Amino acid sequence: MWTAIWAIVQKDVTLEYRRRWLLASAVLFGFLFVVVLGIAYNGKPLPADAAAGALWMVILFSCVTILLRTSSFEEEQKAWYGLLMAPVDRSAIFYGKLVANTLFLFLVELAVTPSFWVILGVPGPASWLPLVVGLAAGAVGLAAVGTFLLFLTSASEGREILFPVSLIPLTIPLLLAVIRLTAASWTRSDDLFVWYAVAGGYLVLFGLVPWLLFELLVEV
Amino acid sequence: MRARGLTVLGGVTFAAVLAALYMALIDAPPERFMGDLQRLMYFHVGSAWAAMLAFFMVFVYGAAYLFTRRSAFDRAALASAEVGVFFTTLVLITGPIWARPVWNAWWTWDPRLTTTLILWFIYVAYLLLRGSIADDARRRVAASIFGIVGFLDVPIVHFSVTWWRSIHPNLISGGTINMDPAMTRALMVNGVAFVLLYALLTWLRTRLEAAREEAAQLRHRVYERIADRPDERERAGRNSESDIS
Amino acid sequence: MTNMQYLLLGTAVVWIGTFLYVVSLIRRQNQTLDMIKQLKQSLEDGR
Repeated sequence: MWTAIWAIVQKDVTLEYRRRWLLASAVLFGFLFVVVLGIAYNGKPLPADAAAGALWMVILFSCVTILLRTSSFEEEQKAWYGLLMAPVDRSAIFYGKLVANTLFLFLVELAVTPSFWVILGVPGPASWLPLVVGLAAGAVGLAAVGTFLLFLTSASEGREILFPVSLIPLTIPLLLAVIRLTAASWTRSDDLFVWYAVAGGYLVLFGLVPWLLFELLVEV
Repeated sequence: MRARGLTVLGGVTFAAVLAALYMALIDAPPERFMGDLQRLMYFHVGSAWAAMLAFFMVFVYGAAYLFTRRSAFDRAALASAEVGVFFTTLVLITGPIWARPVWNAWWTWDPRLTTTLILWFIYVAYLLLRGSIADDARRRVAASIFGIVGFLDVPIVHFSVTWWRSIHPNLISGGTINMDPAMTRALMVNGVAFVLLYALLTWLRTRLEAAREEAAQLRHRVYERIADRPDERERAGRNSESDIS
Repeated sequence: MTNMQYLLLGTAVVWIGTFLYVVSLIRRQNQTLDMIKQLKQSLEDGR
């Protein structure tokens, strides 16, 4: 099981490394968004709530783009059948993809987040813990639900639009939690326990549900 | 037999709706602070209950389909989802109509309002997803899974939104409505009427879906025949032209 | 707008909406049944 997951992660990372333009474009897209936001705010520093919202808009956009691209690449090359044919537990495929997608999302987050306090004048984080936990939980959660929905929408003709349209409402609790955590890291607020709990509970649920439903999911 | 069942259900629902209208608009006393406007609450809460029931049934029918693989369950799930979205739309329209004069705002980020809005998004996505998958078997499995996951998401959405709003200062507190027994009675009658309405609408929608699937199969057979016998293409083509509408 | 007008507006939206939904369901049902009849006819003719 672990070796299978590891093999899939390695494969995806190698592929992404060979076509670096995808991740590079996602990061560039984030920077461009930040620049437009700075222009819109007329050079004034952004309030923490708005900055947290904008940061997660960027991450959400990059997430949708990256996940759609990686999976459609796999389909174009018909690599998907090879994966399904492999003599391993099928949920290993899901978790392998999940780990790889989490890594890519986290990379984009790491690249884009500093630009908020460099360009947009958001004060540097007052406390690091909520910021880091928020970014990590967001990457894992979006990758988990995203990978799940990629399988689910794979038969759909309008996948490019239906994937985000179903991803966002399903991840509202997670987005709520990580946006609050991010905003709190900039303004130093107390009583964050609830948001750690919501993010944690959400991750547990959407980490396990795909494992239960995966045999059905590959039928789609 | 079936047609008679539908007639009976239609009649009972019609009577219940008339009773609900009477109880809500005439029998129940006006509320102390909001006056007659509060009567809208009966329809609002009634359709909210029916919508909850509908989304729960999408979950149940989805699970039933995955276990039994009988397409009837899938049709019922589709019907429930569509009727649920319809009722949620009513909730989302009557809510602001009530809130505008009372709260002086069309929309507030009240926990229940927000949860309802997100539910609406989830199930509209469900319907769109269904519409975009051409293959029957894959559509049914995907929709069933989405229905199950979407419903599991509802309590998390609700709790997270509630915590979100309780951390922030509460700008507008709704205040508890002092319920007169006559009001409770009116609310119950409306609840029954809307549940019956749910049953009737779902029945009609399921029936429509069954007819559509039959039509699709027949059309497929007609096309197959055209492909088999090129000399008949002319004649069958004329027949199938009227089917496109 | 007065409270009464808001009440009328809300009530009208709920019940006219429901009425239109029922009518459209029945209308689509009849259309589909017609279509089934036609398709069956054309299958018979082709035999």
